[in-house]
Amino acid sequence: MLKYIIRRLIIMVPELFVISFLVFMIMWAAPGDFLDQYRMDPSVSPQFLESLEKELGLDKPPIIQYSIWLKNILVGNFGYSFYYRQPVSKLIWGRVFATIILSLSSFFFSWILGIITGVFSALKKYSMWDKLLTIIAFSGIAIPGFFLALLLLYIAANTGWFPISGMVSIGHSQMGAGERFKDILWHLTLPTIALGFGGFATLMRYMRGSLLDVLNEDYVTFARAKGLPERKVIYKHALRNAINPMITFLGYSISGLLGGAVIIENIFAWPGMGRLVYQALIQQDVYLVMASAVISAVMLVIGNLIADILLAAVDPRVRLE
Amino acid sequence: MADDKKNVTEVEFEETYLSRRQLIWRAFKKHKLGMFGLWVLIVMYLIAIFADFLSPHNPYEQSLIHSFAPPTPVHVRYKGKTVGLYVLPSVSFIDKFTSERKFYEMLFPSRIVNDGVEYRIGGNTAELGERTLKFDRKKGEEIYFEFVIDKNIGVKTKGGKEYYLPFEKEYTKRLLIGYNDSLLKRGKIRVNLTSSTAKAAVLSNFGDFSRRLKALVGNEENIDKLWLDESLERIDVKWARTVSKNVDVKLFEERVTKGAENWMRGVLKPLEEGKGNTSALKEVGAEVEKMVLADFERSLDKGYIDDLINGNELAVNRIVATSGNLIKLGVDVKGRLEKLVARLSELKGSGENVSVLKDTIREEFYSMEREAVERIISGYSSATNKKAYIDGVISMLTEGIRDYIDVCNSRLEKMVKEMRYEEKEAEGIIRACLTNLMRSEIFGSRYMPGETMAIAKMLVSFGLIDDPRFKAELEDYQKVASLKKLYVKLQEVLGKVARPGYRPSREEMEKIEQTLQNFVKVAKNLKFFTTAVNSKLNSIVRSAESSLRYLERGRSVYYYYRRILEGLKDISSAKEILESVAAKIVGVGEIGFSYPKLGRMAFKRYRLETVKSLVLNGKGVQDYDYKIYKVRFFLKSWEGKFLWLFPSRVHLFGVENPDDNPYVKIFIMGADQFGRDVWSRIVFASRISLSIGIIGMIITFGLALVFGGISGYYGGLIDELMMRTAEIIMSIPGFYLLILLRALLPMDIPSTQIYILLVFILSFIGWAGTSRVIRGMVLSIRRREFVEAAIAIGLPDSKVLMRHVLPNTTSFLIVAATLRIPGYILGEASLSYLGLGIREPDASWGLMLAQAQDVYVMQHAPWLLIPGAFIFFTVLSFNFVGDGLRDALDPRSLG
Repeated sequence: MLKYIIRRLIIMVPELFVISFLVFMIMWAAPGDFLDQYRMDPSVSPQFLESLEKELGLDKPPIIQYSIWLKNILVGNFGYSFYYRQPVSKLIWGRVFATIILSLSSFFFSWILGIITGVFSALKKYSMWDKLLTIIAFSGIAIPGFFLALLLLYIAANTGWFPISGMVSIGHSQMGAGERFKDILWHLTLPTIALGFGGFATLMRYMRGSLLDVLNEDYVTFARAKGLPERKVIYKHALRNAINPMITFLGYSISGLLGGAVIIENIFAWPGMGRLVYQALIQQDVYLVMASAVISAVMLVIGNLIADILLAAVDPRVRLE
Repeated sequence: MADDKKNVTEVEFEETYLSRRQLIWRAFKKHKLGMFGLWVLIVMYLIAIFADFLSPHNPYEQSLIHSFAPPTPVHVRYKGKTVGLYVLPSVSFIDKFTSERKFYEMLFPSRIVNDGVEYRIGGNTAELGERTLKFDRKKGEEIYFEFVIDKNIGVKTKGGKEYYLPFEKEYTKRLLIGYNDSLLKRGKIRVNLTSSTAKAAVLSNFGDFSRRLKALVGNEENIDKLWLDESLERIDVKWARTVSKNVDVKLFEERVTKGAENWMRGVLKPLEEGKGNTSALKEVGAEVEKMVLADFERSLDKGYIDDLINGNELAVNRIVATSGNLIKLGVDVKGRLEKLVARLSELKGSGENVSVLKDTIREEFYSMEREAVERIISGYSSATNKKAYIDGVISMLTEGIRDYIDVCNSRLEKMVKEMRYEEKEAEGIIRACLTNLMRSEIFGSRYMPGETMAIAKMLVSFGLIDDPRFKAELEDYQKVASLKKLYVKLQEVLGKVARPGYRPSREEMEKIEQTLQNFVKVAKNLKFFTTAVNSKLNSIVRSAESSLRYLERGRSVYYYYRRILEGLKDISSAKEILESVAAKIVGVGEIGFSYPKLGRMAFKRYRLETVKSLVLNGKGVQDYDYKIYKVRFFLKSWEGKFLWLFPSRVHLFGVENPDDNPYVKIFIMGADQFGRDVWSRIVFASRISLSIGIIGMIITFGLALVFGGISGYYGGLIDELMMRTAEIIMSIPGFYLLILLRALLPMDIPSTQIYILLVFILSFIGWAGTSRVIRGMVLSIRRREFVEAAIAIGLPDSKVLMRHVLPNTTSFLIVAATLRIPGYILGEASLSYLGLGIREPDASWGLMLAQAQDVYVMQHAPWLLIPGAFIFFTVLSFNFVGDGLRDALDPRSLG
């Protein structure tokens, strides 16, 4: 097991290297660079531009730029954002908190609700409830996240039940700890639903299908035949087996934690990483993009790894070598 | 016999052989949702194919008079009778001041019988009693429905001849009639405006109007003077500019300002001599003064200053709106605002406190008020017909007052409605807005998020900027000013020593040190400016601090001086930008209205009662008709391309519009900001959204089949290489990759090219995962006996792969492909939504939704969300069909 993990981690290194190189090259190959906005401004002198170019290192060939970046990153220096004139690590660190809150809450929202409703729907197969949940699930899969977000925004704007943007209210800094928590939760509700609804629907469908498959298995029939109470049959025998395929999804969910919210964050003006990165991409703020791409890629790889490990932990039939 | 026959048929039935395809179809038909999805998709694709036929309007055709028009009401009854479906001409826009959507239907009279005389308007002629006017639409001649306009527009030629554009009192009260150029020249036909609807009609043709004006005097050089009574209020600026390009702007302004003043002065005399009854006028004046002043007070309390200083477009609108009556009375609001802003920036520069600024503004408006009242009084004494004058003034003022009340009420209403935000949200919104607006103003960020505008609008409609809670911000402003002063001082001090190679004396060093310390102290005290400015300031402070350290070590300050200068340049340029923004208030025309032709006209629903009282002056209408525009099916209108190829004018439905009335439209799903038909755009957008999924899927699966097939079939090194490549592509997070790849390609390319790029980008992202699955399947199929047999016969690899291995993956492929298509549709929609995909004026569902991302637009024009429903149903249907196919292809269900 340990050996397997170590091997996977070792494979990760060249993979990350290639990914970062690819991203860098794509950024480099994209037309124009960060200084374009200054170049178009007639009040900026060419000397100033030249000095800026030198300062930002944009005058060097891309390979050298990349190797400098790589060298820096090995000592934990993520570079300097052109636009914000701040260290990238500081920028990302400032935003990552909001993103993690949002991602985690939508993660829990979709998982908890998805599993519960999935199990419920499988147990009440073909009942009214099942049909209703199925409709909800299909809608959830089909509705584009940003459209759902817009709809929620529309409702919020018309009813005033929820705030329409941001993460905290104004008086946030004056609130007590409990109120602060409530305040963030209040702001969090809509983005969470918008972000987590699709995942919730998918998970519910999978959970339902998986549990239905398991309920048809012989060992469940056998468990029933030997006179076990239904509760035990379902929760001890069926559910434990049905949950295995879900574990793989868990890995994917973890990997998507940081990167999945760009549009939602934009719509709800959530001060997270998504907006930062999106703007950085548009402005060709290379190092900011690089850092976030690397972080996301690490999350993805680690997520996959966690999924594999969890699967092995839960399902004794799976062996990692 | 009968039994025998039955047996025979039964036997035949049992032996009927159903092909695999038939079996699948039979199984699929049982899947209700799948069938439902299939039907929806068939309808969707039919819509896409026959897009031109289904659109009543050209999807690219803009009609600013229908900005944000709601779904057009279709009527059935006319004067109590059922006459079939018809629509009325309509106008719609969002009032930028109250941010309310206004929609009006208009009645265009087509026949009025008054005092036994029948007036007809229609077709290409207009009859007035015995006279018949003919006009030729192709030559730009039109018939308007204009009534009295209580203002004069005219030109004066160098020969001293005056031309009034075409109004004369006798005709003014009743007739709404068209004119053509020749009649106009002879001065026989006068077009007059009373109704605001009619005003809009004329104003929307202002370009044309000025052309006529020129035609009137023959040659531009002949024009000596051109004037326009100020009362055309908001639109005049725009129009004046249009005209002033051709004519002399100074003359125009002279007429507007000095001309009015001279006139006043002339008429003030008799009043002073005690002639004329002024009490009624004074009453009116007092009332107006009260109203206007109350409004000013409110405005002052609610952040007038910041509006003026930040000077966004809305503030301008607001000022113009609040001073509407003043302008009507000929007060030179524009000039005064100019002075006011100049004075304000002066005051700001000197770091005066807020109350002084407030007083300045208040004083200015008080004096404007006084001037206005004086003008009413003096105007009275000069009037020849005193009663008419009083009537005129009173109606003008009451109208103005009513407008004020409307404005105030709606603002109040709005505030009450949004009270719940006000407490908790407004502050944060304002902060966010300040940050956003400042950042985009100061640093000119290339991307300004959509919500900024929404926030800015809220900001102004809340009128909350000048709240005590934002003291810190205001103080910061002042500190920036003092920072600038310190900077000047610093420059002075440093100028002496900052020469390379110069060694400053001890005294000089101490002085520098002290100034720097002051600077740092002030800069550090800034609590809030904007985060962006803060970070700038921080860096300056940092460099200042480090230069202090270096000073202590006695090093040359030259380098750090440069750094500080550069940093400060940012601040001072920020200040400049702020000031220039404030100065923009002066140049109203430059900021511009989005609906310049409509301005802020108060459109009223034009009811028949109004026709009677206003148009015919109560003399009794015996009969009337107004125009209705029938809704017809298979109607000929704009030229589209049937099936992309054949030009065709026939459309499924539309409005019969024989006189090409631009106000007549049928929007079954409303209109967008530019007055384009949402339904037509949805229909055309479906071509993009529906085809991108299928084409993308084909490319993806083509790639995946090649990669997966080869990789799985050959195994070994090739497999390892290909799969690692696929893995790397898979481990770049999808959406980032999407945006990254999009960033790789130029932004400003035509939509057709973007479309192709999108297809390739989307397929590039999708193929990796699928190819891994295919590889897995190929791996397992390859070990099956029939493949080994094929290899054993000696078939070449390509044949084995193509004939034996890959065909066995079809079941999976069909299902996976169907379930994959929604991904592309959503991908395209998201990219277009972010503004990275299909570009205006072309339409895609995602792009259309992007218009609705502004909360206020969304609230006022919720039909802009409809494209989302189309995405939803399409994706849902693909999922249903995919589900149905999966069940149908399952061997167990094939029986």
